[in-house]
Amino acid sequence: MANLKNKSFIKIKALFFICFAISLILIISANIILASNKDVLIKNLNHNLFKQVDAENIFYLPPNFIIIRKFSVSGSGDKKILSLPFSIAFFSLPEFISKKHLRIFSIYSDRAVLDPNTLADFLKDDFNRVLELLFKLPRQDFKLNLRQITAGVLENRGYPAKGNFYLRISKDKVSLSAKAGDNNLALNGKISQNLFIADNLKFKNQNIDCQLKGKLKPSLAQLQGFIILSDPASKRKDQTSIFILDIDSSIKFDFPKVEVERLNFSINNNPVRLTADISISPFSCLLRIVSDFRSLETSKKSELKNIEFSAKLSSAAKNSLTADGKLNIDVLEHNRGSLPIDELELTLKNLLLNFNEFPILRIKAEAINLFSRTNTNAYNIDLTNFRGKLDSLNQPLRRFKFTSSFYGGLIFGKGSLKMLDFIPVVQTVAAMKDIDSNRLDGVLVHFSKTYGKLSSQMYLSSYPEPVFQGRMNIKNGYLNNFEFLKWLANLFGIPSLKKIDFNTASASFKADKEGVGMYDMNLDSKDMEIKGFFKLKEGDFVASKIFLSFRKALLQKSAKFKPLLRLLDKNQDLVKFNFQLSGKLSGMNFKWLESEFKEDLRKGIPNFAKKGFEVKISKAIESIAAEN
Amino acid sequence: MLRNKFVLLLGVLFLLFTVLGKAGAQRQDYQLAKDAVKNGDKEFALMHFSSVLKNDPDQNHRQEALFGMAEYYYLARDFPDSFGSLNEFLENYPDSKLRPVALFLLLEISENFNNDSLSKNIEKQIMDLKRIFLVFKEAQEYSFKSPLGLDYKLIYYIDKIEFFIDGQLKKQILY
Repeated sequence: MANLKNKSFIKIKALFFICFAISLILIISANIILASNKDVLIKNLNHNLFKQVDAENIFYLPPNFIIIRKFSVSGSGDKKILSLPFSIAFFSLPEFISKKHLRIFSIYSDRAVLDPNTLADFLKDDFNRVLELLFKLPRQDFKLNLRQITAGVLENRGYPAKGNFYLRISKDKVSLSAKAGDNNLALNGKISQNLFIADNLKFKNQNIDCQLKGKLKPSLAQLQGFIILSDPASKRKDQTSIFILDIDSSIKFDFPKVEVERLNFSINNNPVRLTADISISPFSCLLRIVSDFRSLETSKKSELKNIEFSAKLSSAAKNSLTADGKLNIDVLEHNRGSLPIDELELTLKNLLLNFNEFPILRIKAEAINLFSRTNTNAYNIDLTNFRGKLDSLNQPLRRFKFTSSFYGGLIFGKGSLKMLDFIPVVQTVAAMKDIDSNRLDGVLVHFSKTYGKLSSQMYLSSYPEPVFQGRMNIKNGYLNNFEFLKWLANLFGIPSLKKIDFNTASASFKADKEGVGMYDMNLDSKDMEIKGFFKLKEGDFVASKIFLSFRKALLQKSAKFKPLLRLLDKNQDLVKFNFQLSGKLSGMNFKWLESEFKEDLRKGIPNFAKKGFEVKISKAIESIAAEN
Repeated sequence: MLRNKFVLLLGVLFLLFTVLGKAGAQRQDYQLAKDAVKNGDKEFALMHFSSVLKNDPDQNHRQEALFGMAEYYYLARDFPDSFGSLNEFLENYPDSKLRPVALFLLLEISENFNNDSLSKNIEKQIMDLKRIFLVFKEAQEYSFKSPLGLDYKLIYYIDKIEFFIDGQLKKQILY
């Protein structure tokens, strides 16, 4: 009995050994076959993926596993798009035995490394072929599970992110989910011959909540849905979020050309239409965006009515973009406030954006023109040979510097830029040097009559309220036919006042929500001095005090003044004429302020004549003001 | 024939008396309103002003009656009715010398309604109404006696306008 048991045990051992030996032989054979055919397999993959594919080792493990070590897909220049250090592929054993067909139904990989830059280049160059490949994939069940993916550091642009990727194809249904950091992507859809129907494409992170659906063909994408952009730092998300709703798009692909036939959407209930003709390689784009802003309901500070942007963008040297374009903004009438701007137009000529030193952006422009129109005037600013540098593009706070030729002189400055609730916050200090002041007539029409070399220091801030202030001075110039001096020349009957030479003329200026104004005005001339301030408030209301001092010799030339001068103190060399202005700019109130001259006149004119004198002066001022 | 002529004559006389009677009634209404104002009976004055508005197609005293009613409602703090009457007054009589006074009353009412944009608009209208030239004087003064017997005074300085009712400063607008 014991002998029989012993024999059975030996038989089982032998059988086990034989099975083990056969299995070992099969595994070794399979591995030898795999190893010898590795190059053929890789060649096939190379052909299908049209990119360099490589794997260091491929092993077979029973019953239906294939272990792949150091698998990689390389893009142009042998840069690796995807590296999978360790992967397991599951294949259908029955199908392999019965049909001798190796059908992989699942792939699992751990610690994959993805290079987004090379992937972006790959998709840019071969997007159409990738789509065609996806459509040609056999309709069979398949799972791809990539765990702990490291997205390699974006070339100087950010930090590596870890994530997971899961793809499942079941007959014609496709579902995909991916997660990296706080970025979540999910896709459900159906795939058929040359058509992918996306039932639901969701992307969500701290800033973006996006849901799209539609059709995707190798030559056409038609997507509808919405995107909500919110600032995670904002405490008033309901008020500061940007709602991009009712997206309706039709984009044609004929690589390397992409035609955005239609991309319509609404931003916070304001319809936007976008069309573009894009060439991917080399990159160029004809872009046109039109928006009829009704009201930015979530933003009470909305001031926009219409925006139209048209531009021709193209790639120049590596990581550079050139642009010629025009941005036109119409402003809502009820929001014009103290700076009653109807329209703003920005024109860029030969703008070059250079990202080579990313995160530093270098900007060059042959010409930049800023045109604005108010209900009364048009303003025009021309910058030529503009050079700018924007640091820390990848940081919330960006610092910038710029210099540009400006009407015969130079303008230069530096500042900072950050986004707060999606509104740009700009703070800058700038200076102008040796500008031909009369050429600034596009900035302020009165400069057309002011000659001399102008220098200025300025400060501009857009937050918490827009403020533009500074001080300017003009040297060795003259005022020619300046309205105010013409007015005085007529009032006093002194034609020589129409042209005043001066050594220096200086003033501080400030434009804010209260209005625009010039303060500490000081003009020093041989025959006269002007000091004072002039402020234009909301609704074109004026607040001003002007202090004029004339040399007696100048006033002697006036037939109107001669009799009055007799009333003055003979030792008085300077005759001071001070007055205050108020009310509407088009019809200002006038008050003659106290001065020695006025006091002497008061003393010199008998009381009964004062009323007549007052009426005469009033009429004279009124008639001259009416002419102007 | 003679009978027809007599009927015609009677008709003409009836019309004439009706028209003359009505004109007399209007004059009487306005006079009665003035008398009521003199006697301090503002309620009676309101009734007579109302009659003038109803019975005065030729608009002889409509302006005063409308302003008087607006004043009455204003004094009674019936601001909605006063607002309506003042608006009607400003629309129908844009060149009235009482226009600045009407605007000041409207300004106080709009402030009472907490309507900032309307208040701002009215302030602008007041500031835009008159242009002044001050050579030796410090200010220009304008006084009005209103249909309801109130004394209004406006003083225009270079940098402000002051509005007085019966000698009391009611409002100041700074330029």
